[in-house]
Amino acid sequence: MTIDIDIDDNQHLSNLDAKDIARRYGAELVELETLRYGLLEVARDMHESLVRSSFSPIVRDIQDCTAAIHMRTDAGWETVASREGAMQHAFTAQHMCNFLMEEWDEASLQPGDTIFVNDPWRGAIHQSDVNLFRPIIIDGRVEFVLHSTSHVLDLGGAVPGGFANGVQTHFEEQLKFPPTLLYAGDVPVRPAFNYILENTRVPSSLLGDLRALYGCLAVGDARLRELVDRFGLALVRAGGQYGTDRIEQSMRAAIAALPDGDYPVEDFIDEDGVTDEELRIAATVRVRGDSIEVDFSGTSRQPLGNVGTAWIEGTRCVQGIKMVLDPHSPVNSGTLRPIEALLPAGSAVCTLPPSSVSNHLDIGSRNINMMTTAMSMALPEHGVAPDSGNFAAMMIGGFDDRHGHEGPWAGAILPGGAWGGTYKSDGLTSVTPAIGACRSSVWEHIERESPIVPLMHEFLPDSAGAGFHRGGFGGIFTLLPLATTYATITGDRSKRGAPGVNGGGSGFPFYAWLVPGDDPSVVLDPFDLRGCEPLFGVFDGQGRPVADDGVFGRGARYQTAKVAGLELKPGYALRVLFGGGGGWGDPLERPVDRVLEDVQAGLYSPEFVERAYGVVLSSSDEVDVDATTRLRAELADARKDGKWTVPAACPTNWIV
Amino acid sequence: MGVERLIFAPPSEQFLHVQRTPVEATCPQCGSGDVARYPVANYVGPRIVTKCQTCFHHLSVDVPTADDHWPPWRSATLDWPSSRAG
Amino acid sequence: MVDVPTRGPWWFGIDVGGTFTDVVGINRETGETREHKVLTTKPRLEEGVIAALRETGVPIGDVAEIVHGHTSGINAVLSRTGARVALLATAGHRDLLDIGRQDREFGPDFYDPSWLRPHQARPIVKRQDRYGIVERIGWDGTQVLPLDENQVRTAARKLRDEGIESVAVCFLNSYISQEHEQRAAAIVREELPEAYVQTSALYPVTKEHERTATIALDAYVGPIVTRYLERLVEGLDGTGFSGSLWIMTMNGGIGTVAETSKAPVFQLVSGPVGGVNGAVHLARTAKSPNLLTMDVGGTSTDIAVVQDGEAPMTDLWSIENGLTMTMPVLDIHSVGSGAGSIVHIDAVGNLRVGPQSAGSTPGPACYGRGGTEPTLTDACVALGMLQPDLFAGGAITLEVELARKALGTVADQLGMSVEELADAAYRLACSDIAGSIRSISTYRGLDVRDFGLLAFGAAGPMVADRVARELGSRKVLVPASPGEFSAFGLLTSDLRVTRARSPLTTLADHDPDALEVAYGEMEKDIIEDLGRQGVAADAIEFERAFFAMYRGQTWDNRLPLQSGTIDSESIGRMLRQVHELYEQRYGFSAEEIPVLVSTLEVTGVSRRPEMTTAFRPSAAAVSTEPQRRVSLRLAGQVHDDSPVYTREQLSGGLTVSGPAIIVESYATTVVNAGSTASVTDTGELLLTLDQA
Repeated sequence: MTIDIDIDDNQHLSNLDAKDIARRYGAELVELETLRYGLLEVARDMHESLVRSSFSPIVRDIQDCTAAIHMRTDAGWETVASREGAMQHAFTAQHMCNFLMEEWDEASLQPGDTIFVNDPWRGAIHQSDVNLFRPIIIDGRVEFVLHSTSHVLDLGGAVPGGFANGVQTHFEEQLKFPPTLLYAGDVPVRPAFNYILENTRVPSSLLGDLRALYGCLAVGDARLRELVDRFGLALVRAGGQYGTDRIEQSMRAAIAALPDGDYPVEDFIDEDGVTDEELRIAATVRVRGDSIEVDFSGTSRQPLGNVGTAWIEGTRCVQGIKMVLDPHSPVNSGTLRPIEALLPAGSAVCTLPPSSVSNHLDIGSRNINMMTTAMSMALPEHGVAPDSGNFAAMMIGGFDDRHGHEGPWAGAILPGGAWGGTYKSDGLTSVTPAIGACRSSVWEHIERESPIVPLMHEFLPDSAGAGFHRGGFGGIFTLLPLATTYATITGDRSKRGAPGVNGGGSGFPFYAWLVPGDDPSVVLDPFDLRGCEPLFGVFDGQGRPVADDGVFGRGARYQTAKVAGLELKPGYALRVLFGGGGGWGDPLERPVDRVLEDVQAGLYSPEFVERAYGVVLSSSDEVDVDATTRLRAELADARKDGKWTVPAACPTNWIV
Repeated sequence: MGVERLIFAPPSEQFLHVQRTPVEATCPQCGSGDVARYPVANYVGPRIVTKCQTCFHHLSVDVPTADDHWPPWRSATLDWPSSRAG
Repeated sequence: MVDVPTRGPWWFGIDVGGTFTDVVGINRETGETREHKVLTTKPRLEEGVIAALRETGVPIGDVAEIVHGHTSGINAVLSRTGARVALLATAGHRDLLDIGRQDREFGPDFYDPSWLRPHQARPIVKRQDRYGIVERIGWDGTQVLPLDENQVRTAARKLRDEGIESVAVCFLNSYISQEHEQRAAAIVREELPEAYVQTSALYPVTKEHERTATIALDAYVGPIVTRYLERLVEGLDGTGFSGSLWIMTMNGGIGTVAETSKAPVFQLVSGPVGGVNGAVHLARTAKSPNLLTMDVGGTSTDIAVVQDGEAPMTDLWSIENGLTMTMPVLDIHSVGSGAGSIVHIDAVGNLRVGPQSAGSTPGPACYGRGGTEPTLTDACVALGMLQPDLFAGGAITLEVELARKALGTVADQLGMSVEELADAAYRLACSDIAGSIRSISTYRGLDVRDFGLLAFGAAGPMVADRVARELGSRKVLVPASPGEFSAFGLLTSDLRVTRARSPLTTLADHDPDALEVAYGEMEKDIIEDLGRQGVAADAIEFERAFFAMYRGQTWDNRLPLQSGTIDSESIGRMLRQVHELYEQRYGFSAEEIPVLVSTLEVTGVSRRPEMTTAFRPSAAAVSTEPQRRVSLRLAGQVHDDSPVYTREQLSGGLTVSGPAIIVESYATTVVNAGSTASVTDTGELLLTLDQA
């Protein structure tokens, strides 16, 4: 017999025949491994250089930034290594490089040239994500292209800080740059810098981040040349090829193990911030042998608002597939090779210019959730429930009037979200949806630089979708401005929380209020709604959030969770409550002691576990076993008769 | 080619689909006669594939020409001579 | 130099590991060495220490110094057996430890949807023991909300009722004002006079999550570590020991019990630091400047890189994702594979070795102390690597049948023979260790072919050849007395004390005289501190450094400050240093942006006298005949009649080709087919591998 030692791709080589490999790549296995990881190390070093030398919190703390190395191959330009701060960057980088290199005249390139692009119709995610490319010329030919990318705080346009909610064209978003020479042979191109710096609201932060983005490419250039000098170009290329082939093999082996078939999936976006039209995102995932086709036919036409994307869903979908099939290996071109996507032109996943795509977050999150759901259909024993589907993303800014800090400021806050329950564990609490997996801000830095006080950032009780494995919990974020602040809030799953799978319940939806900030006991109690103005959410007649049968927008200022230009005055705090992930499996089967643990930790209330888990407590530390057995049997029977479904996660103890 | 592929009116249909054009061919891999040609996003970018619908074997993978309108948009300056600055 | 009392010539290094307690002594007058090893005595570690010391045969009155390293802190964290800790946090932020930096660790689990942040899966402070205290210090150190003292008192009384013995207090912005924290801590101490209480005073730096994690970890291990040290001091007093006891800390330096007990979190992995210090010493003396160090103990393996004769420091050290400490410490990584790691089948049916360990009680099945689960040691016995009668200096006779019986329970489930299972487990363990070494070498862009693998710990030499082959390294070094090498390394450690201040001001505006005064004050403080530890002021070397960055940034950079008094030209020099660093490290500099000095730091070092034990090749003629021949199974192949030599035979000049076994008092070196073993002129056992 053979034993499956379950070795992560990057942990083990003994299952490969070293001689075969040596023949195929013309190099020893140990050299190929050294170079495969040598390239990854160059990317890691570039990323670390970028993070440690950047200026804005979105790069240095949140790390919504990535470094990648693309290599010339017969197919075009292929990513051989990346160190991604936001997961999606690893999947979108390769197309961007190919769009650029097909368009740019290679003969005109000189060492040290650096090109700036943020055009969604050339593969960029949205205009807030800027990309710098540095072609590496070796022996007279471009052999590699180094790539750094990051979200920036502001790049001009009608709405500060990107996420131009409510607009209908990209003209009203941040400025759009087709490929533009930013450094000519390591010399800054003054007109390009002037144009950028004179059209942004926070020039010092932007200039700092652009220098860091450029600087890390110069660092990568030096490191990559050290590798080439030491091992020779042929061997470095062989290492890059070997690295991508290994990953391709790993993906294909996992795809081949799936049953051939068509797996249709769909999900929805509440509305587009302009109309109240619901958007349908549809895909059929076709598995044949060791390859996959993702066909987005059946998706809604492009929305009037900014919630579609231009090009990127064709590779972002690969992330959801990888997360279930081959989660443990690094991402490179080999991850993408087995998968092709069909993007209907003019649909929400292939919007035509001049549409606005600045909120790519929601559709990207749906895309990944749909792919993990499709994989769960093909591989039921590896099911994964959807994530919270929003980041509660906020772009904030204004004019700081604190002594010594006078001047314009801007910031980005991603309070988080949660992942769904999986076949083997509860969902992760406090993590952005999977396109990101970016970090939180360091509040002590934010407070020093911005006239705001992050009053509260904690878990939200009763927000996780119930299940045998529950979802991760959503959260509370409360911000008190010290000077007039303008906020953009971008979110979805505000009509319904993240759905459960395999009988699991859904998570709590997304809400926001303006809260009187003078009484600490009120502002620090997320369930105290006295004197609060609801901004958006699903409410009952008394203004209490109800996840299952309320009315979206009832009594609220907005009929959307995609808000721009919200003015926050000192004395009033902004409070958002975001939901948890969906549950996996039947909550009536969840072991009673695990339910009790969550109650003891204050994560679930006794009321909610009785309603959703059928667990009856006799005291705060004790389960009434008999009553629980009876209630669970009753609920299971009622479910059979169609009289009971697992309730959506929702706190009950509101003070109105 | 000029500026005619820079700005588009939004589509009128509620839901959109990618059309697969049937091709008279037999798959050399599995022998199926179900072969079609259509635009995709593959691992490097936009391509036009001729592909067996039974086993997904590629009969051809082509770089789109201007007539393929894939992707639908196109830079106005694509075939202009390049300056030092691009 | 340390003021050495004249009581006696002996200095001892004592390293308490998860399985063994090792003692190494050096007679500073004669160069004579003594070593001894006993099983670690849990829970009363000091009993093993004292027993081992006694069994070296050196009269306690002749012992002048003991340098001590231990892993009681890290073991408590890894096994989650620390104190029940309550955390008092700023209201609204009590989930900070679970939220972490909200990140997913970049690496093999980055994309795995079932990954859980360790503190969510296995908290060190449970959510019900975290209290949000209404208070708030603002960004500039002023009070935004007053401290709710009644709330603190009510919480403290509840903690007392619940029997909580350790309290961590960490509020937002306490890096700039500790007023609320100190007041809250005082109230807690009033209500719980017996409790261990820790605050940001431990290391008051910015970044609320990392600071909270550091304080919470300290509170988690503080009671265990300080009580242990108290018992040890008491026990040593009882033996009549009147010399000095030094404790190894993670910054690579040593300190007295009193000083190091102020922040026990600094000695979380103090034992392994001794090993790395020893490796640095060896890298220099053996002229082998690039080493991958692998310390394989009973429960875990500690790994580090020594490059160009230096061990790197890090200012962000993670035990596991989300438990990150911010302070300068030696960069040592730990993996849960050791000789006592349990061979088992996991929930999804795969063979695994570790991270659970049989420890010293009951120990591997072959120890005959009641252990029934098979371990890596049992596998090595079944493979013929360990000689039952030549193990641990004869202290334990290994029982082959018990090893085989334990292995059989797992082998049967997989339908394998005992030998096949032992072979698979051995290779899997080696592969796990190689993978973790690769993560700090190959994955960091180092070419392992430039490095030797330095194998120590009792089990290091047993797996080194195979691990080196997996890595592609071609050279293995086994130091003299590999089992006690960490203990020996303790003796090479200096006294180090670091002081820091965070002015966060513009460098160009600094008055050079004021800077000099600031450094001078910290140095005076260090002189007092080291003075309490018996060091004369003129024996202290100071290393000054400053941390700088551009305005608008938050990641600062440590730069050495040129020695000598700071004068008007120093500021300009410091500015140039900063711009040059940016140009070189980050690919740009920005001379028009003001440079901020975030931290002034100074370290006082009191060098210990060089500890050399001159290696003398055996003068007596040694036999070139093997001690015996055994059947050895290596990588699936059975080598009958494989020779077993003693290390002394090689010291006498013998060169041995694998397959072979080389035994010494407390270690066994496995030499694979294709490897050649000899002893170098500095006394290390050298394995040269034919190919990777």
